[in-house]
Amino acid sequence: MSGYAAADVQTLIAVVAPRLASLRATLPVPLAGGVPEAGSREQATLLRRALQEWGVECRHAGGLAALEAFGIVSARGTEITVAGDLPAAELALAYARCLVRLALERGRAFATWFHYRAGCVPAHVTAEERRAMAVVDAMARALVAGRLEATPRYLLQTRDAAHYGPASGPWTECSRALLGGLHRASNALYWRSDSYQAIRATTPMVALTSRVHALLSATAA
Amino acid sequence: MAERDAVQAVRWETIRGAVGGRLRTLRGGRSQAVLAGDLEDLGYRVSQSSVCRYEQGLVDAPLTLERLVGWALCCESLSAPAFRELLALAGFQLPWAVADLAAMDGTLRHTRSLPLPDQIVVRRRLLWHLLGLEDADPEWA
Repeated sequence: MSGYAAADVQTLIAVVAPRLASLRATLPVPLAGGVPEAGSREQATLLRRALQEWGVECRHAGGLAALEAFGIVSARGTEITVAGDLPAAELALAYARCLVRLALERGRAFATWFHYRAGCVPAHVTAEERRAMAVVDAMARALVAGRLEATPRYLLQTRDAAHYGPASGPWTECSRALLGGLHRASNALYWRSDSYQAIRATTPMVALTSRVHALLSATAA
Repeated sequence: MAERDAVQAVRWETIRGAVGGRLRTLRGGRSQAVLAGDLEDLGYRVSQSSVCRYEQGLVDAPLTLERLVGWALCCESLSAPAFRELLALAGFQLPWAVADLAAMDGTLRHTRSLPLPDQIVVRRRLLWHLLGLEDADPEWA
């Protein structure tokens, strides 16, 4: 990937997530559910600025009929093009999906992605592409909601890059192995199962995974 | 004629038949009129008769790299290997790994299935990433 490494995108997400969460916390709770339009506009602006500060060129295009957004990574840089007619809430989600995509498309001299509007996903999309779309969508929704903890902690990191805690001594080695196994299993399930994506986002599951991670990390530390 | 132009003309003379034939193959089932329309949407002024004459290798004026790539992107049967071969035929090398070529194939597959307005937007951005061409460049006029 030109211009930045995959690890940089992790940092970008780590920086943006708490800002989105605090922004979300300041918004009034809408009676009918969903996100207030004004809040969505601020979220979209925050995400776009974060992407731009990271060197990603953000474009708006009028007249896109089937695409919500698409992105291109090449030696000339990284850019995303978002449909110009999206309402603020969908615009924020579109930027968030692109941000998650950047973390997935790593180490390529050339890569593209296409995010379709609802009901416009073509039949030729492969099962693998559908899975990636589902994961990207789930992660993006969690990011916009300020609930990144509702997704697996190391989902966007490569196996080599993921460190589950320091290790010294037999017990810490055991704890770290168990922790790594649990995280890998969670990642694999998250990629393969829509049901697990939903379960993983529930409050009890978030609390459970946080406690297990804290317990095994503390043992490993 | 400048020396550089003379070299280009000689070079084009030797490859224009092969390039034209390859472009004809890549056009697949699309009509020359549709292709000319797509090229116009992309910013190139190429008439239907010019498409026909280029495909037959009858045009003396060399097809520039920019037009060649834009033309190829509008072709129905373009694939990453065919794109690389076409550029190689014209004397250019695409320095991509196998994974990048696969990504290009995926890109072409998605682009072809899009409605025309979306295709135009995507192709224009692809032209920039492949060649560094922006809408404001003289070639687009």
